[in-house]
Amino acid sequence: MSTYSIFAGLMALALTISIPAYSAPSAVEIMERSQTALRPKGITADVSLTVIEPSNERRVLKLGVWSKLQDNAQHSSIKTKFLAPADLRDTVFLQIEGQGASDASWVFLPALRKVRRLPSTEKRNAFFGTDFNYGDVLPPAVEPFKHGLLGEETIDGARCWMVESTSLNRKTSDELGYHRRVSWIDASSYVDRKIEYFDEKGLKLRVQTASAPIAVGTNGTWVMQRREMVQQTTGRKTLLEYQRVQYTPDLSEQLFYARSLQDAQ
Amino acid sequence: MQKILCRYAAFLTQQRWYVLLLCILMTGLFLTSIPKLIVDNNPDIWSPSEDSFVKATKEMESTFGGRHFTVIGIRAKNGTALTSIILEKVARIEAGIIAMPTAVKTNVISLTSNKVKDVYGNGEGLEARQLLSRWRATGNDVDLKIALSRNPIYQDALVSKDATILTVIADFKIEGEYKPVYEKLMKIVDRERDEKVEILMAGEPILSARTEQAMENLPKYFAMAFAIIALVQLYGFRSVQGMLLPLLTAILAVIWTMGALALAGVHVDPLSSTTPILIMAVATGHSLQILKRYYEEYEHHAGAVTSSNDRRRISTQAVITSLNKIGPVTATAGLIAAISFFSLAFSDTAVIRQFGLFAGTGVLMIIALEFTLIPAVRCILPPPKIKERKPDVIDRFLGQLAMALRTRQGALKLVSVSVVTLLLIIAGTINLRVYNSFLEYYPKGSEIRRAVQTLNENFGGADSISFLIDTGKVDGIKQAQVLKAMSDLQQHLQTYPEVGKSVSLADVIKRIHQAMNEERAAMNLVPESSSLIAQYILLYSMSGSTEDFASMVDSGYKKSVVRVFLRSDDTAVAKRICKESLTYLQARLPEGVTARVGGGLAESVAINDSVVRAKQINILQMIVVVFALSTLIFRSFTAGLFVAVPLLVILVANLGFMGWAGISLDMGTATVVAMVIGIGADYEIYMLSRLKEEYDQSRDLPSALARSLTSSGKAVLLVALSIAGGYAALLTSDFGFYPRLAMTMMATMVTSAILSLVLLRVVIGLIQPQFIVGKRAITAAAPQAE
Repeated sequence: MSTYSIFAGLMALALTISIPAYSAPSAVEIMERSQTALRPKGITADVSLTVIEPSNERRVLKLGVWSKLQDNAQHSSIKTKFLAPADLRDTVFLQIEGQGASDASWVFLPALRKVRRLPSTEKRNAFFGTDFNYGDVLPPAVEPFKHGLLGEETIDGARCWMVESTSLNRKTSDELGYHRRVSWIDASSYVDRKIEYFDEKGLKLRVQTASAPIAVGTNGTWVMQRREMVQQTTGRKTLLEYQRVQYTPDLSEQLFYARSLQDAQ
Repeated sequence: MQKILCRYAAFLTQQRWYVLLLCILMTGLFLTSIPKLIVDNNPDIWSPSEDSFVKATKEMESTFGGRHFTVIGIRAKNGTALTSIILEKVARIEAGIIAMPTAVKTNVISLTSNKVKDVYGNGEGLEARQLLSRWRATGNDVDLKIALSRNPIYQDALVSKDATILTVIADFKIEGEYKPVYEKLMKIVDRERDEKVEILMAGEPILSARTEQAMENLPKYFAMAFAIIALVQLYGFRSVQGMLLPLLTAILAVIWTMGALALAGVHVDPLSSTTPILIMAVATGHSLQILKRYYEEYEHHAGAVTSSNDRRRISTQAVITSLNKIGPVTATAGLIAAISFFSLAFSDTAVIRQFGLFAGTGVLMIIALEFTLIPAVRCILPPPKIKERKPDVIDRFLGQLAMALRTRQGALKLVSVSVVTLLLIIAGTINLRVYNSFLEYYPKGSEIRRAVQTLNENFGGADSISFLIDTGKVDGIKQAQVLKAMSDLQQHLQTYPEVGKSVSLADVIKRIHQAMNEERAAMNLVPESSSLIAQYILLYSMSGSTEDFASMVDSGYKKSVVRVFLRSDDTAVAKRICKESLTYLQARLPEGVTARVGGGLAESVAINDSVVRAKQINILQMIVVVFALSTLIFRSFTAGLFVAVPLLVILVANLGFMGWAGISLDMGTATVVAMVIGIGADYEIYMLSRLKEEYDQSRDLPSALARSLTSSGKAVLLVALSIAGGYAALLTSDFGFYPRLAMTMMATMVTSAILSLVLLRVVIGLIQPQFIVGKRAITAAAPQAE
């Protein structure tokens, strides 16, 4: 064996050893970690949703939000109470993820003074009439998509991985209202910075941008305090802003019981 | 003036080859520009832009679409259409339409649409599932029947009462031509035609696309008109030159006009598309008058001349003399016609403005050609041979007419017959209907009329009006008082037998309220609490989708529409419904909330009103222009009246003829009136000028009347025959707009000829106007008693 061959062998070994330290995680890994990063153990916050028409006309919804990670550490329970507008004040919406095939939802309508169970809330539907869908409230499950790493880009000074997620079946596309999305995931915090949604023909449907991350808790979970969703066909957009975010890991389970909705007043 | 014209004519004959070359170059330029002409069949061009119905329609279109609604009916040939095979066809047609880039996706709907929901209450709350979902899951027809019966909003709209016809309702964004949309739509629909179903298509885009198809046949009619006019010329002049020169003027005037307007970026529409025939007819008329005069001058001087050089010299001199004598009349008549056509440019209806531009430019081009190319070509061509001409039928008829008019008794007889004929024609105005219906342009048994009839019989109706409610504030539509007013309006509309169906957000709210109250029928009403309504909408959005309401309410809930479907396109009925119902609605809306009416049929009402009101103004304006210019040219108010009054008579007679023939006064036929004024004035101006010239020579009014009758009178008759013959080509079209236009134009020519040849002459003979006979009244010139 020549000196040259020994040197080449050593270099190859050194490179092989050093690769894991510099390579990106797989696309699936990124999406899984992103799921976790955006699910704090528990938070309370005030949220305002501002729908901005292309004519710059605005409609504001103000909500109080309670969110708790379930014991399985995969699903969350979210309770939302309307603070404004006046005609929706005290309406409460409860969504429990992972209850059978679809999430379970209840609503309390103060005008009827009744709690109603919603048969199923289609994730493709507009979230309280805004440009966010019910499926955008929490990051969608990783499994129904095929994920691929497209590359890296910098957004707001943050290095991001571009991950393409294509639905594996028609059912998922129909349920969520899009066929493919491209996510820009922050390489350090794993929060999403931008998501573009496409239909089957490749037509861009909506673009979501997220900013102002705030760490909640100690286990690397975050809340993006500002999100903006823009409809590509109409130009209408919705601004979602978190205020007074509090880390509340010990929220009571009872808070998320359907029968407690009426008591939330 | 005469001196200038003489010098100009002499210069023209000297420079004839240069003039010819220049005209050839101009023709080349205009000919290459014609392909740039854009066909514009947008219904906007028919609508008076300032009308409140039209403005409301446009505002609704910008927020909700719904301007180009198309109904595709899928009829089962045997039994029910609610079978999976037919529903699959419906779904495929809907998907095909949605994939079209011109489709307004939010307004494409069928029973298979995701937004078509079965809204019902269950023990725990509200369900809003796709209407067919339960039936698809169970395969049990009862589930489908239940879903349809508890959601009556879809009945008579997406499924017929007897369930034999299903519809796909579509809406498109169309700018310019309808044909591409129609062809794409036909491809989608044709794939689904088979022995199981019959597919019916209705709606404004279908009618407009067919109109465009009809317009494509115009070159054929133009060629026919050309041939007919050529035959009339040949008959009149018995000479190929005599036939070709007026036709050359006609064809070049059309090319120059079309080319110039193409360069100016003016669009062609169904009405202005017929102006080539008008231009051709008018050009032939002027050319014929000049040529007739040329022949008179030439034959007068060349009778005994045999040398060809002398003949050429005499021919050139005849060109100069005829241009000198008749040129000012041609220019005057042309300018009067052009100005009266251009005065239409002030109309608030685009189609009328474009027509005025086309016709006015056409007349100017005719004058330009008559003063340049035609005299030059006449000089270049070898002089005509002098033939012994026997009087033809026209000559004999005019000779007899002249004889009859010379005597008081004969004149009175003729006047009596003419007046009675005209009065009989005018009596037809009693039957005249002011009515605008695009559908009536198609034959009764035609596919399109059958489709509309079937859809009208089985559904809410193929015509629609819409009420636009604007609260001016976000979420304003969710107010109970507003929705209650909308619901009351719908109930009020049901009292009209012509109203087949109405749809609004109030229907949905009432349905949810009933579903949330154990499906009790008594709860099918708008709740009194605005908060409850807002919460219902929120609740629906969690199960259904707020996008389901996109065709009824804007995303900010500021504006909403009540769509009303009618089984009749009678604009008079629609106008009554619009006005009464708007007053009814306005009385029920809270302060600060406005309501307006628009939609397809309301726009037709606006067009109709424009026919009645705006056309009266246009016509009056044109007559005033004609009167003022004639008064100015002849320097006499009486002369102005002699030109303008016959136009009024022609106009009324025209309306009378339409009444007898069952032709409604619509946008197309009303515009014939404008043409009448443009052409009709020519007859009187030529006739009066020639009469004055003859009188100045002979100082004998009866003989001047007789001579002018056999000279310019013959030209008038030939022009009338040419124009009527040219328009007769349109009678062969199965698109009713054109035969109507042709019939009214032909009737106009008959009336114009009677007036010009008979009545006007008798009146002149009787009153001996100063502008003809001068200040010294010659009583002896009056027709004498036998």
